[in-house]
Amino acid sequence: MDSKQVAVIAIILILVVVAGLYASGLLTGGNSAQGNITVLAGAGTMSAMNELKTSFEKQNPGTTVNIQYGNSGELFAALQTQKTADVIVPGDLTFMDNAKNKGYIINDTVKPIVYHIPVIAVQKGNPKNITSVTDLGKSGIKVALGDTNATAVGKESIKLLNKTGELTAVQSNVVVYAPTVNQLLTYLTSGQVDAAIVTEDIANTSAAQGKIDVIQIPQDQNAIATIGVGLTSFTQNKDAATKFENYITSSEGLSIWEKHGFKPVNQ
Amino acid sequence: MKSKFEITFISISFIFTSFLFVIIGSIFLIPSPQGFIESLFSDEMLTALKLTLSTSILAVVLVMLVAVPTAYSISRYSFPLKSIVKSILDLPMAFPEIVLGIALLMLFGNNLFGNLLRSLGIDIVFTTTGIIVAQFFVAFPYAVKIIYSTFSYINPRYELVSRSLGYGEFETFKNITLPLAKNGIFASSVVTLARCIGTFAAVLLVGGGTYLKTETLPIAIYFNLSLGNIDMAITAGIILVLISFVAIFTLEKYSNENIKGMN
Repeated sequence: MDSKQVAVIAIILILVVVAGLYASGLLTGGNSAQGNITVLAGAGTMSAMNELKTSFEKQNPGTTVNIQYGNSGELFAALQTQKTADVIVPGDLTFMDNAKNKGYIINDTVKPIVYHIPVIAVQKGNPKNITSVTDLGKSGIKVALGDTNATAVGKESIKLLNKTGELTAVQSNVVVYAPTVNQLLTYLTSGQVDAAIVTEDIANTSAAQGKIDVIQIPQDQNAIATIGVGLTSFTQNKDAATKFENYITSSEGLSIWEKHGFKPVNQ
Repeated sequence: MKSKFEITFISISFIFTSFLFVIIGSIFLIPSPQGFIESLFSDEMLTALKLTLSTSILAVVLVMLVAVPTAYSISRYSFPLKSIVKSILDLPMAFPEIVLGIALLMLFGNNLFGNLLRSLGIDIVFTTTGIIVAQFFVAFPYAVKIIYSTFSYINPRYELVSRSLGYGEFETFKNITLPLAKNGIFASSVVTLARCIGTFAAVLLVGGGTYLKTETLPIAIYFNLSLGNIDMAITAGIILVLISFVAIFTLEKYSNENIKGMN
């Protein structure tokens, strides 16, 4: 192989790489009922959304659903910077108000789907005998919460502690405000903390089953968020996006949500 | 006259280096100057910067104290299980940081070792101590690797001559080996520092990543990205790029000078 051939091969390789990068940017977002749609979804919806995506794609051959997960702020940042997503499924409907104000959401497309219910998760066998929100404020209890700005469940925790008047007592017991919710269960199962406030669906996942105990918070003391869905104003493929939104709010879609520990709004 | 082969290879390196340059450079263009300044002097950023630098510098000192003897023993001595020791030292470089983070959590959890530390009043998880511990174990293998190759390049004969002139092991190490290995040790501390500053997943898990308390610069990026504070996130990113640049620049300059000095 002489140097001329090497040069030709190298140049072809570079052209292929550049062409590939160019094409991948161009070929997304065709405008038909088929093609690709991009969904931005709350990290807490991952288990249900992955299954919804698979069954939707099975029923609609030729349509690919790409899902980006993140906490509510990450989703907002993605909307703000990429301006390409078709559908958004945030972990809390209040998100939609902010996004609407910025003009990112098509107004009449927002629908509630399921509830996000905070519960108290404790170590297996409940060694510290925690039965209520009040117990989280007792001396010697180590509590982990989600970060109060970055995570939906962190925000809800503060709301519900305020409701029950336990905020000051519990806050003095908080050893960590974690920026990601999945850290909370890790801290619980590795024995770093005695209790954490997480959402019911996460606490009920197969991964957590048998490793932790779950204590329900009475409805009048609780702060419950609603997971919803909406179409973004950037959508290039409204047909497919609408179809997907209808599917995840249909009775078939709701049964998948329920399977993953979420309670539908209409029940 | 350069050959076609040479020109091709140089072009490839130029094209892809310029890609990399554009990628890195693009983050400098995102924030508005005003947003950058505001973010830079915000409480959160200054706290994160101070925390990152203080924990990293401490971690580097500790890493060096352990890595120099470790690297020296595997380059000079033969001892039982040496090959296993070497493999274990290389392991953390191959697996993701988050694995190390989880392993540390389990170690300091509800078990004999964790409870022993707690009874001694040593808190590791959710503290700055935890951050240093995480940085230490992430960076330690890299430091050992660089210092090991430095020691391996030094001809043992210098040491033998020193010993034959009646100097003890420690004096020989102090007066002959260390001065010869000075550059390698310096280089490895720069790399170790950069590694400690950039450690994310392990520090997030062990330290907890609590706002203003155990929030290092990489965590500040993640945090603010998740809040939609693009300016804050990018500013933290820019600070990290600048720190890395200074570290790498120092390293290059220093090693070039030494090559000149040798020739």
